[in-house]
Amino acid sequence: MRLDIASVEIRDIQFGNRTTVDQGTLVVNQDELTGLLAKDKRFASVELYLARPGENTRIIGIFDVIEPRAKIGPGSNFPGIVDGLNRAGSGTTRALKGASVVLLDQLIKSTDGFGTVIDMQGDGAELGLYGRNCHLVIDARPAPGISRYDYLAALRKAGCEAAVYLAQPGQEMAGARVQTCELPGSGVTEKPDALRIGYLFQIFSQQYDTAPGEAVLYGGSTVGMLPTIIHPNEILDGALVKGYAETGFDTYTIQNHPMITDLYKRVSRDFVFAGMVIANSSVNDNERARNALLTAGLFSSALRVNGVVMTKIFGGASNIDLAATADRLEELGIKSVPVIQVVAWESNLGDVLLFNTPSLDAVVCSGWIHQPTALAAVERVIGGRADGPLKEANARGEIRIERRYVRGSINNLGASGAGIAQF
Amino acid sequence: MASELRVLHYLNQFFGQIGGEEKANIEVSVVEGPLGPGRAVNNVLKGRGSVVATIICGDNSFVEKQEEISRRVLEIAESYHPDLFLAGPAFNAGRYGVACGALCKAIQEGLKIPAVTGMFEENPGVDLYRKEVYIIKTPKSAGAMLEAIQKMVGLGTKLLSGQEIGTPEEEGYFARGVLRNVLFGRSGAERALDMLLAKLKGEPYKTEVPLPKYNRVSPSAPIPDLTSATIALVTDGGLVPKGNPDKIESLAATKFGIYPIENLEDLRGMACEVNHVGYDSRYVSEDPNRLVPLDVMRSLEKEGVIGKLHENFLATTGVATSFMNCQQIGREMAKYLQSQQVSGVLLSST
Repeated sequence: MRLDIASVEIRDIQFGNRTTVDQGTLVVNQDELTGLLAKDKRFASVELYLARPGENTRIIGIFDVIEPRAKIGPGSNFPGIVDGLNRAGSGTTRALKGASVVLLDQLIKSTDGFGTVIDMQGDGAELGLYGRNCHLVIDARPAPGISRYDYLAALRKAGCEAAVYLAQPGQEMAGARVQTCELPGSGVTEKPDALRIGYLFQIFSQQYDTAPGEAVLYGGSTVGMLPTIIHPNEILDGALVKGYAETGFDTYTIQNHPMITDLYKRVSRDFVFAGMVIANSSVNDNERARNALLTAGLFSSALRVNGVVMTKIFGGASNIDLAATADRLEELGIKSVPVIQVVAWESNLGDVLLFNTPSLDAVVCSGWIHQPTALAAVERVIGGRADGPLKEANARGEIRIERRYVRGSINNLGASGAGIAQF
Repeated sequence: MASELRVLHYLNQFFGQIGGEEKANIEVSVVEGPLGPGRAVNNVLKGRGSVVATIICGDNSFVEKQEEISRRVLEIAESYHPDLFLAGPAFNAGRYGVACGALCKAIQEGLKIPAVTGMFEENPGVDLYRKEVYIIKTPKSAGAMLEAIQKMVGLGTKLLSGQEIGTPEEEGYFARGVLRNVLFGRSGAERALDMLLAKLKGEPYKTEVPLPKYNRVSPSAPIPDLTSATIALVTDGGLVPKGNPDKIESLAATKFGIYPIENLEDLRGMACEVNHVGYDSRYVSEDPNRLVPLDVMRSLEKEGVIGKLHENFLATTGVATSFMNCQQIGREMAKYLQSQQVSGVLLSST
């Protein structure tokens, strides 16, 4: 299965008469896109805003960030959400690099403060993942009386539709950089003693309130899902989106998956990207133990790997699934390295890991989530409301928030150079 | 920073060239310029500054009259207007190490200038002061004096310049127990694959977070006769009376509460709420017995399976709770329960 991602570089974003890419500027027909999204009766209103790198702007209360992408030729966009159910991951997909769709959550819980934040300049832009992108921000207000789950389902659909709308094939395909993803690598014959590496991607958990029909995998819920093998191209090409809760990764970082991308980069005669398994993080012991066994079995008999890298969802509890799985892999002679985050308030690095299984003596940490982080005052805030828990006025001044609320600063998939040290 | 650096140096009676153990009771004295190891400080500074005065005190005097001596040293220090305070290094000398640590702490708080000392890892001064004071790691023996002084001066001048202080490994000090996010040159994903390949190829690798070492705790002996025992309900699921009167934190809790259930048959009769950000608490809110099984325990009490259900339940919030606080809370809960002649606990968690 071969996927070509043809990237067009975006350096600016403007509203204009026709949605197109004009010499690096993404032009958006505001009325047309607003009209498209406002058709959904689950919204009372839809407004669009623009934010550009370097502007003195802060976006707050964010639900998801999505890269504009659209299939060129045959293929389903976000199968099960936008288009019908067909396999993602082959053919050609047009991607607008340097642009994003940002969805605001207007039903954010009051206990979540400002929610997550994207600053377009200053320290916040340096620390997060999105300060250098041109954003199309969707502020969709919930219809009166709508439940939070129905609202989030509508947001999920709107965000994906907007992402496809923006990236629809247009005139500017010349100069597109093409990234080809296929396994085994094209023209690569592996040596008999090549190392076979697999990737375990923990994609979902019921730890936080999940909704019936919550679109996660091919537009459907993965509650109760057993670990399963999927082609990495499907993950890159819209089969998977962020669920409703704050998972530690956005749809954007799924589309630009750092681990999958790096695995592809390393493919050579000595290095085989053997494949990947997606699995849930479990909320009960039996399920966790069973999933660990099944996952290890898939890596061992179906993918025949020597080693596995693992990423997790959410915070603390999901570490346990990784540790349980690592133990089962170790039994089968397979080594693991997980990417975790420090969620403790402990000050001693020797006390913060949430497992002590000897098989995990090689651990990567993508950050400490609680570090107090001060962000300077800004001129403009996008998001929030004049009333309600998310007061836009409060977000305009200097704010002090935990590091994890700077969107993308602590990414569970290992997207940035973020790490931890003890001083 | 104008002109030359003014350094104040603290030494004990031995390094201050007064005498050995027999002089450990001498009082505080001050000498202009450097003494002994202070000359090495001047050499390292190479004209950028110098030791303007050396304060000397006997090791026993300090330990016996710590507060008084610290005050005296602070007074003297103020009069010299130093930019930087150095103490020792004390290597493995315990009383000296404690003096160095305490004086560095007093000076940095009192004069608001950087203060640096140096010690061997077994020096009691390390554990006492490492959180608040920069202590350079030294070997046991004073033969390593020059290197210790070099590191102390290096770190001291860095602190003065406001430059970012590197990791304990880079700068040579004892980790002070502060966690911070840093930026590596490679992404987390790249680092994970690098580490896995190293592990598979038998090449050296270093974990970014070490495995914790837990003590083995021996379980208590079984309750000899359950039918006459008092059992208590304890939870870390964050169930508290409505309004959370004890203000238990919903994350990283530092305390627990004791809540009455004496006349209740069923926890749905209690005005309560879940104060815990680590799980989907809808089902517990609907029926708190699911978390704290009062209804079932009452049945067991009536049937005589247990002697008595204790009249209170204990609750804390177990999410991102620091290891030390968990131990502390556990100890205090146990102390209370023992005082109530409780012999067993049903601990429910989420």
